[in-house]
Amino acid sequence: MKSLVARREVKEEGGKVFSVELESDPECRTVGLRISGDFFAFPPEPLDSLERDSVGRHVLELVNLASRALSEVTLVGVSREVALSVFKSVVEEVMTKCRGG
Amino acid sequence: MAMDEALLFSVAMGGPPTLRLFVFGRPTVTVGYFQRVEEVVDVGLAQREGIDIVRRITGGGAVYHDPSGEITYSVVLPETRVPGDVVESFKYLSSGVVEAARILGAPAEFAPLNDGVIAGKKFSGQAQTRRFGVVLQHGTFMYATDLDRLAEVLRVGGVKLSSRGPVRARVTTLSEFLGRTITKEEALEALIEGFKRGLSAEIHEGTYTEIELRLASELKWKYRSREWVFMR
Repeated sequence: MKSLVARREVKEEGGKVFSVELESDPECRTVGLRISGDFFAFPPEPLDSLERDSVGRHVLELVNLASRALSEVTLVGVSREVALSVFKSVVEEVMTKCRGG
Repeated sequence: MAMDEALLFSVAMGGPPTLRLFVFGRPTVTVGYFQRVEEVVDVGLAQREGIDIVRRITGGGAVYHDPSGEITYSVVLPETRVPGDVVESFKYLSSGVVEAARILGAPAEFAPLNDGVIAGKKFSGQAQTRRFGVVLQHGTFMYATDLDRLAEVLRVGGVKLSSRGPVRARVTTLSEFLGRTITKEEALEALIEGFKRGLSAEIHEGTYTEIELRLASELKWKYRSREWVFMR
């Protein structure tokens, strides 16, 4: 089974790197989600949970899941809006490639 | 790193606010909690040159700790003792390293979000986490770090490279800036005085409590495990 991968990385002026890599199967189910960068998140656990909980779900669900997770953390080095836009961006990219899109 | 986490638990349980100054036993790269090791460290070089890699519980970027040229500090205290704004708290808790550099003769200042700089070049980076109402901030004090080795082992790519340029051009040490060799003893003495001034605090030398030692002993297995280090 061939997986589809989309990755987006941002760094706002004076901010930190925030990166999201989304891997999906051809049916638009999330196979893996990796959030990385040198930003700060207090506490980090909601983002860890997001990586785990998104696996097996339709990629479109990621935007809502990410929005909820981001509301539970204080981000430093990247704004919540920009972070969410990164999730939306990788979802859009994957959706153009998978069959459920 | 295990001791830093142990101190965080200790303060959460009512232990005294703690300043820890230490030197790594071996050259080590610590990576931030959310970083992917392969993206920020030349793992092959690290393995060949005997440089350890450890993941921190704090966010932020990868740091090269040179036992011959860098002292690491950790400050652990209740959140109520630091500014609520995270960047302001970075500035407040890094005032010790900024003051220490000034004591040694360098015009150091804090540069948001989390750097200590001299003439625009970084000599100190800070990282922080907050848990159980406690702040743990640790950071570096590069008095004579081998900056060429630092630039070799740390990888900077993607948007960070395009926005900030190569590592070597952005960092300095106290010795490099001042044009004389700063010894470990000088650096340590300056740091102790720097933190007294910066935090307006009385500092009493102490030893780890039994519970801190026990916690650190249990936590060290996490920090040594491949699962933790290569978690991302």
